[in-house]
Amino acid sequence: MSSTRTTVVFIVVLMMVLPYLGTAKGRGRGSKWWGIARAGEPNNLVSNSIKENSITNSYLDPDVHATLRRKQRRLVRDHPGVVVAVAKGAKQAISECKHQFKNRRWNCPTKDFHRGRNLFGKIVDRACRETAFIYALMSAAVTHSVSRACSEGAIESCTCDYSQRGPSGADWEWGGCSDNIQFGVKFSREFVDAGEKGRDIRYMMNLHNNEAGRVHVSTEMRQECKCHGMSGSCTVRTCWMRLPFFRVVGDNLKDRFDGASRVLISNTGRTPGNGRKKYNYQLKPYNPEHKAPSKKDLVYYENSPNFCEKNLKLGIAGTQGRVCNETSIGVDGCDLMCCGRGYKTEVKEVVERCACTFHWCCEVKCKVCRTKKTIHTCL
Amino acid sequence: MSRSPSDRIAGNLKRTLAASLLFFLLLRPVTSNWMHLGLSGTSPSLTLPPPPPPFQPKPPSTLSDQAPNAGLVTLTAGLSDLQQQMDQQQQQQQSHSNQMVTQGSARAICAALPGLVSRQIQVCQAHPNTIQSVSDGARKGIQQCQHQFRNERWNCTTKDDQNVFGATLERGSRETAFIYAVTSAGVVHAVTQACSLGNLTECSCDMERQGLPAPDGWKWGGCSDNIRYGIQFARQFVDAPEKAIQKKPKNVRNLMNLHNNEAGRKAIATLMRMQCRCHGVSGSCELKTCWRTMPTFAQVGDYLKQKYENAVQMKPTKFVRTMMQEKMSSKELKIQSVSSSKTKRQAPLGKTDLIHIHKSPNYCVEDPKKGILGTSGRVCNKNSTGSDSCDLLCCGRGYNTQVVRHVERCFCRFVWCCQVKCKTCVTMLDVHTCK
Repeated sequence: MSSTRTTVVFIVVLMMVLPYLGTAKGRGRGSKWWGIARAGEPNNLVSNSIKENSITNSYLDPDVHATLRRKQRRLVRDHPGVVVAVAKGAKQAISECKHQFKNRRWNCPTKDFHRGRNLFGKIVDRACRETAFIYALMSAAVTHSVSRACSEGAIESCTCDYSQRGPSGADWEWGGCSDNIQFGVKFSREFVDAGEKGRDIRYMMNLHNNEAGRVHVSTEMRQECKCHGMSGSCTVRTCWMRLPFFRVVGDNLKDRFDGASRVLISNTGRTPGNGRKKYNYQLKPYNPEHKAPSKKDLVYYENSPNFCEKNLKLGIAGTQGRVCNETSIGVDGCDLMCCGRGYKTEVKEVVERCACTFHWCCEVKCKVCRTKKTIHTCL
Repeated sequence: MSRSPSDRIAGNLKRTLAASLLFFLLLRPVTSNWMHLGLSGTSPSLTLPPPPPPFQPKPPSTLSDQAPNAGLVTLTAGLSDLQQQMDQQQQQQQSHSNQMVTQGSARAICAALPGLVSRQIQVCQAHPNTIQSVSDGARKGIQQCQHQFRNERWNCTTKDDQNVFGATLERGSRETAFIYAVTSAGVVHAVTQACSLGNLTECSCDMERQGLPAPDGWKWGGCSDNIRYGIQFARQFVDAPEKAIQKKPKNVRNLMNLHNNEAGRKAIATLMRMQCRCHGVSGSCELKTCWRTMPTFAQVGDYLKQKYENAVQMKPTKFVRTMMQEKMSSKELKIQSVSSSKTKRQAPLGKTDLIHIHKSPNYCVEDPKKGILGTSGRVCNKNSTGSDSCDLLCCGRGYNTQVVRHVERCFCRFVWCCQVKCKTCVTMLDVHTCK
């Protein structure tokens, strides 16, 4: 009798545990800090410091504080002002992700912040292309934003990058304030990669994609110059290194997303080390005939779901109700977007201001136009 | 007469079965199986005594071992010098006459060709020599189709069995419309060309205007391509399967196919151009002879591809009604099309417009039932923005990258005399294929 009871209890316990076994424990572990992007939103009771961009108070409200790992908290403490840059970068990454994927079935949905849960939902628990993109973009954004914050003087522990790369040219000299990409990359490595410890493929994937994001920022650095001669003539010219527009980084990463390479799960055995050694490994492609991923490539090892139907288990909203383009044959076209379910067409009246004229001084007068717009939405 | 109820039920069942079978046979999608002539051009069944053409290249044994329109290029290249052609035509006709197929062997050959309807067999028996041109024409059409669609998701895939295009033809989609038009045009082109080359006994150059003076002072002369014969022959042969079934139940698909066949033929007719040659002193144009010549088949392909892009989708019911009323004879058909914006198409439907009745699938994912191969594994162009771009071709699934060793000869120079020395260059190319 007691044995049957034990069996029943065992089964019940097993049934409670089983659903959680499916998702590997801590797969999206390094992604917890993403919650910092929600700092400053009204639901967070955040100290006004972030809103006002004040660098004096680097401590966060408990909710955001909880998203950081111990090492990340230390970093935030050591570099006053950096948390603002990180939060700004994370926000930038989210809006960039939404922009890049606005025409695709997966359109980079984010959830409202709540403690301990992932910002991008369960997609992060998988190891597909979308996940790779999120990691790379987040890491790139932190690098970008921190580097810029340095040259803006928003972080106490870093300044402009005065180390000059190579000799000056014949008609120009290094000068001005270069964006501090070195500090940005170094900080991003410590901060973003803080959670990525271990030897399994998931950590290696995250590390690789994080690093790929940083490489995309640092290789797109461009030289900017200014002429200081008489009435702006170019007899005297100073040049400095400037960060790329973040849109450029987003575009490049999106390209890499399309060409992302699938790697073998058996890629393990990374020698645990610190510093540069940590990133010195070569992942093997899933198909040996395919090109091995380069430093700039994104890597993944699981297939993406098709994102067509609603799937709560995978955290997919489905494409029902999405607006599609009837004439396109691409992924934004109704045929692919709606996964063959068909779409409905509505004619909506849009009221907008039009035929605006400027009247001296200083007024702009507009008419109100009503135009009819045809909108297609997936069934 | 006292049959048991079970007997009666069985009898009824049989009758219904038979009726439904008949119904099925009548309504089953028509596949124009004659197109396989384009694949089996050199199959044993078609080994007519090969006409000895000086210009005509040997038909390739399979489609795959030749570039899509390599045969076409050589064919049309041969056409350019018509004068020379005229000289040789007579020799040809002489040598040709002793190779004519006898009545008996024609019957055997035509009966052995699979997939022809009875009317087509009749035509085949009446013109056994022309069948080789039909086969050439079908091949031309298929090659041109594959050339035109090499960068699209649907790349005009053919199968090696009798039903050349597989399940694609079962849909009344735009792609089907193009296939019908281009193969029909191919037959016109090949037959007309054979006429001009003198490979056929029943036709020759178009002599209608021969020697007649034109108002501008020049004369009609040379060998005008006999497009009328080509069109007439193609109409007889290519349209036969549609007409055979069309007699009783007016099938929408038959009407669609007939229209598109005709559109293909009309395409060649509208692209006919005039060529002239001057015969005056040292080539001056005091004396001028002109003749009408066919476009190259690549031009026909381009033209039909344009028509494919602007193909019109028809509402089946309305379509049939108007087609019946006008009996395909009027010059213009004012038909309401199924336009996306639910607006009526105002422009009348021209004879060269392609029409279809079904929407095309997206051809992205493999579906053996529908005969769709999917785009997985197709080579895409990363830098393109057109239909061959990785973005569009791979339907958003992304692409894989392979490194391919590309060996080519380079830095070639001419060494006196007479040698060309080259180096071999090895470049590593990234090839992208859809996931």
